[in-house]
Amino acid sequence: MVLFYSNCAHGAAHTLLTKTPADPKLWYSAVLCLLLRLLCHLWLAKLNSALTYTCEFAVRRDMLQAAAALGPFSPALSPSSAALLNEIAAAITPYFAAYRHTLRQVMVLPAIVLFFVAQVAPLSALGLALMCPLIPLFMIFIGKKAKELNDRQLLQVRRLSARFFEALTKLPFIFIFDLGKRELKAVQRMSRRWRVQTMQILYVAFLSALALEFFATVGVAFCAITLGFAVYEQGFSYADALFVLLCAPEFFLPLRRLGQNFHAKQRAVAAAESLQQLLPTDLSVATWHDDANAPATGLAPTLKPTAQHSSVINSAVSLSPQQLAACSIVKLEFTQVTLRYPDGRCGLKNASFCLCGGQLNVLSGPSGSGKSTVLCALAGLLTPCTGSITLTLSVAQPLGRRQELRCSLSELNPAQRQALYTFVPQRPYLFYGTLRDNLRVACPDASDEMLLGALRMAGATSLLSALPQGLNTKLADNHGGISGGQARLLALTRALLHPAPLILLDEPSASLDPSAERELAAALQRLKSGHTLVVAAHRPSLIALADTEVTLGAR
Amino acid sequence: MALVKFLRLLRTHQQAALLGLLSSWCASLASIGLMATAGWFLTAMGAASAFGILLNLFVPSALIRLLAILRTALRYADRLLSHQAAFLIMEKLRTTLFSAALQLDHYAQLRFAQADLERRLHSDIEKLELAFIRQFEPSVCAFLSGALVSAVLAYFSLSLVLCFALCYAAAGVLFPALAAIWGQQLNLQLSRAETRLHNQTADFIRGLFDVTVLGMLPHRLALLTDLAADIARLRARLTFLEGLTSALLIVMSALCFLGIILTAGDLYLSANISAAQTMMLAIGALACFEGLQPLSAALLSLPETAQAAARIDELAQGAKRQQGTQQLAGRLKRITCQQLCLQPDATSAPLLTDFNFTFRAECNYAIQGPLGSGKSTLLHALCGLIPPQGGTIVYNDIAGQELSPESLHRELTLCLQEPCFISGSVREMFTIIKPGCSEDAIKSALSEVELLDFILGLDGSLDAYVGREGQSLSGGQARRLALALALFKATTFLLLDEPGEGLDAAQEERILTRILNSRRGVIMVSHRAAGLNLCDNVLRFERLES
Repeated sequence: MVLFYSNCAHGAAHTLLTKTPADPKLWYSAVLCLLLRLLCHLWLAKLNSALTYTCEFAVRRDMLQAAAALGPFSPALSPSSAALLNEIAAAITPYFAAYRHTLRQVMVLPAIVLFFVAQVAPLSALGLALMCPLIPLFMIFIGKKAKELNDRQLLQVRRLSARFFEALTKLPFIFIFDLGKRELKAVQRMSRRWRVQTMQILYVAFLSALALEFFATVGVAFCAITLGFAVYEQGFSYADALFVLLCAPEFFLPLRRLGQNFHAKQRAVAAAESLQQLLPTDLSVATWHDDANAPATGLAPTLKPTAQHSSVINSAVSLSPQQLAACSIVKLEFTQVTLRYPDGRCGLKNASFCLCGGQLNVLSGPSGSGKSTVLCALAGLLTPCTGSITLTLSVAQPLGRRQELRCSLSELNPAQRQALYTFVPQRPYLFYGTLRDNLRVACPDASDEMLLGALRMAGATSLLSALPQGLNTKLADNHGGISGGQARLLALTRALLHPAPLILLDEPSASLDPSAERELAAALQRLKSGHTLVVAAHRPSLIALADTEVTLGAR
Repeated sequence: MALVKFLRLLRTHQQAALLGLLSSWCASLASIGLMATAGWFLTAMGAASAFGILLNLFVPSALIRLLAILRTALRYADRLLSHQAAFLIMEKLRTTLFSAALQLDHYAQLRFAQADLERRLHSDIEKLELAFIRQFEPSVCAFLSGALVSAVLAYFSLSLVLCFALCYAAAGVLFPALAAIWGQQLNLQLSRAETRLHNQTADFIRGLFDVTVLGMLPHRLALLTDLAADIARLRARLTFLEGLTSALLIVMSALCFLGIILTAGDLYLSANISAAQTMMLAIGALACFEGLQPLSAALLSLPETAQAAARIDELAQGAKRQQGTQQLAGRLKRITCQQLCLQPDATSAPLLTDFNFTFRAECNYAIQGPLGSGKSTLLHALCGLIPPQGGTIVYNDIAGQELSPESLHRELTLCLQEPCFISGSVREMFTIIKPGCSEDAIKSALSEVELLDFILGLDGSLDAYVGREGQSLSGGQARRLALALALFKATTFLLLDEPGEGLDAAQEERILTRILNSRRGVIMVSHRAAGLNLCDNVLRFERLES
C-alpha cells in the first residue's frame, strides 16, 4: 500500500508540477501494488475466519460442558443461563476475531508505514512516532474505568434476563394472581436502569475512542500543515510531502480500528469474568470426561487378565458399565448417612437403613423428610457428607456361577453408577418436541416398537389411545398439552427405556386416577422380578405394595 | 416490509434518531473536509513554491485545525446520540413486547416455546438495536455524503462523477450486495442454528436432572456440541465474507483515487482546474470511502436482522387474550356453565362437551375423573385462562367474555397443579399478592398448610430466599407453599388442582379437612378420597371416547 501511495504521489506530483502527462509505468505499478494488497487482505480474512471458528466453537463447547458439570442442583444455573451463555459466546468471539486481530495490525502496520515515512521525511515520522505511545496510555486509563462499569452492566443483563424468564415461564400464575401490571412495571424499571447504566458506560468507553480519534485527526492535520510550510518555505519535495500526507491516515487507521473494537474487548473481559463463575468447575469437567472414557480405555487392560484367568474380581469398582448393567443388586445399606444439597440445605440426617434387592422398597415419611434426597444419593447426584452407602452386587460369572461383590457407592465413577440405575423424577421435565422425541431422550435410536413396548411395560398404553396423534403428539414446554399424570407415565416409560438393575421412582402415582394407579401397581409388580425398585411414596395404596418399607423422618 | 416497520418504530423517538443521524453525517463530512482541505493546502503550497506565487497561509491552516477538532467532537457526539436513540427505541420495544407476551392467550403461549419467547425479548431486540447503529445510520450517512461528494465533483466535471460514482457504488452497494446474496443462505442457517442452540440449551438446563439420571448427559452434550460446531463453522464463513468485502472496499477506494487523479490530471493539463483543486477532489473522494466501511457488514447481517424483526413482529401480532371490561358488582355468588365445550389446545379433540352446572359460593365441590378427562382444563376455563370453545361461563349475571379478568380474580383464585410462585423470599411472595399485609396474616396462612414451623426454622425465617421455583423446598413443601399463597388471597371461590399430591395421606387429610371446614366455594380436583366427605357435591368426569 505504501508503494501504491508512493507511486501515486510521484505520478501526481509529476503531472501537477510539470504540467505534462506522467509516466504510465508509475500507474501500472500502482495497480500492481493494489492487487498485491488485495491478496494480502484475502489471506488475512482467511486466517481470521479460521480463528473465529476455533474460538467460537471452543467457547461454546466449554460452556456447555461446564453447565453439565455443574449439575442439576447448582444454584448458579437457571434456564435464563441459556441467554447468558449466548451472550458470553457473542462477546468473546469478537474479542479474538476483531480486537486481537487489530491489535496485531497495530503492532506491525504503523511500524512499516513509519519506516517508509522516515526515509523521506524524518521530521514528520518523528512527530507521528511521538504521538503513538500517548494513545495506549490514554486507552489503558479510560479502559479501567469502563471495565468497572461493564461489570455492573453484565449483572444487570443477568437480572433482566432472569426476570424475563421467570415471568415467561409463569404466565398462567401471573394471570391468575393479577401480577401482570406489577411485572410489567418491574421490567420497565429494569430496562430503564439498564439503558441509563449502559449510557454511563458508553460515555466513558467512547472517551477512549475519542482520544484515539483526536490523536489520529490532529496527527493528520499536523502533518498537513507542517509539510505545507516545509514545501513552501524550505523547498521540501512536493512528491514526498504528498506521500506522507497520504500515509498519515493509513498510519492511524489500525489505531482507530482498535478504538472502535475496544469496547468489544471490554465486553469480552467482563463476559469472561462472569464465565469464571461458571467455570471454577473446569477441573470437574476434565475429570468427568476422564471418568467417562476410563472404563472404555483405561480399565480394559486390567480387565483382560482377570477374564483370562477367570479369577475372582475383588471389587465392583473394576467392573465395566456394561457388566454393571447386567448384574443384579442384592442389598443397599445406608449407615449413618447425612446428605446435603450444594446450596447447603440438609436433606437427610444420620439415617441408617437397608434396602433389599429384587424387591419393591418403599420410602415413606412426611414431606421434607428426605425421600427424594435418598433417591438422589442412590443416583450419585449427592455424595454423603458423613456415613457411607454400601452396595452389594451379584455378578454373573462364566459357567453359570454368580459372585457377590461389595463396594461403596462413592467408589464408582459416574459412568458406572449411571449403568446401575434409572430414575423417574418427582417433577419430570418433558422436552419441547414430540412424544417420540421425548421418549428417545433415554435411548436415541429406539424404534417405534421398542417405544410402544416400554409404554406397555409402564402401563401407559391407555394414555396413547387418548392422544389422537399418538407418538407424534407435540408437547409444549413443561408438558403443556397433556395432563400432569400423563406426563408422569411418560417419564416412567422413558426411564424404562434405559435398562438398569435399579429403578428409582419418586412419587410415581402422583396425579394418577385410581385406575391408572392400579395399572401402575401392576407394572411395578411385573418389574420387580428382574429389577430392584426403590419408590418414594405417600399413598397408602402404594405403600401397601411394599416388600420393605423404610420410614424416614420418624422421631 | 421489515424496514417499514422499523421506520415506524423510529418515528416514536424521531428527535433522538434525527439528532444521532445528523451528528453522524456532520462528522463524516468534517472528516472528508479535513482530508480535502489538507490535500488542497499541501498542493497549493507545492504549486506556490514551484511557480513562485504568494498565498494566504492563515485561513487554510486554521480551517484544517478547526475541522480536525470538529470531527473529533462530532464523532463523540455522534456515537453517544445514536446509541441513546437506539436504547430509547429498544427500551420501548422491550416493554411493549413484554406486555404483548403477558396478554397472549393460552394457546399462543403454548405455541411459543418459552425459551423462544425469552430469546425474542432478549437477543432479537438487541439485534434490532445494532441494526440502528450499525446498519441504518451508516447507510443513510454513506448515501448522503456520497451524494454530496458527487455534487461537488459534478460541479467540476461529469467524467469525475462517473469515475467516483462507479467506484462508490461498486464498493458500497454492489460488492456488499453480492456478498449478502451469497451470505444470505449462510446467515439464515446461522440464525436458525443459533435459535435452535439457544432453545435446546434452555431445555437442556431445565431438563438437566432428567438427562443426568437417564445417563444421557454425554449424548445430549455431544448433540449440543455438534450444533455449536455448526454455528462456529457458519460464523467463520461469514467472517471470511466480511473480510473479503472490506478488502474489496479498500481496493475500490484506491482505484477511485487513482481514477480521479488521472481524470483530474487531464483536466488540469487542459487548464480547466488548478493543481490544488485536483488534489482536493482526489483526496476528498478517497476520504468519502471511509463512510462505506460499516456498510458491508451491515448488508451481510441484513437477513439476520430481518429475521429478528419478523420474529418480534410475530410475537407482537400473536393472538391476544379476549378480555372484557365489565366489573362484578359485589361478591361473586355463583358460576354457571352453560353448554360448555372445552379443549386443552387448539388442535386436539374436545375434552368436555355440553357441560351444564352451577357452582355456588356457599358450597364445596370435588371433581374426580380419569387422566385427561378435562378436570384441570375446566378449572383453567373457570379462571379465564382458556376461552371455552362453545357455550359460556356466566359469573353472577355477566358472561365470561365480558368480564374483566382483574375483577374476576379478586373473587376467584386457582392453585395450579404444578407448584408455581415468583422467586424471592417467603415474605416477598406474600406481599406481592397483597402489598402491605401483616406478618400475622402470612403466618396464619403458612400454619394452615403446616409449613410455619419449617419456614421459621429456615435461616432468616420469613426472609429466607426460596430459590427458583422453590428449589430449596422439597416437592411437598413447594406444593404447600403454593397452596398457602392461594389460601392467603382469600377469594370467594378457591380452585384447587390436586392439592394433596406430594403429601402423605395423614397430612393431606388434615390440611384438606381444615380448608374445607373453614371455607366455602372450594372447587377441588382430586383423585383421592381425602376431604370428599366434606364436599357438598362430587362431580365425576368420564373420558370422551372418540
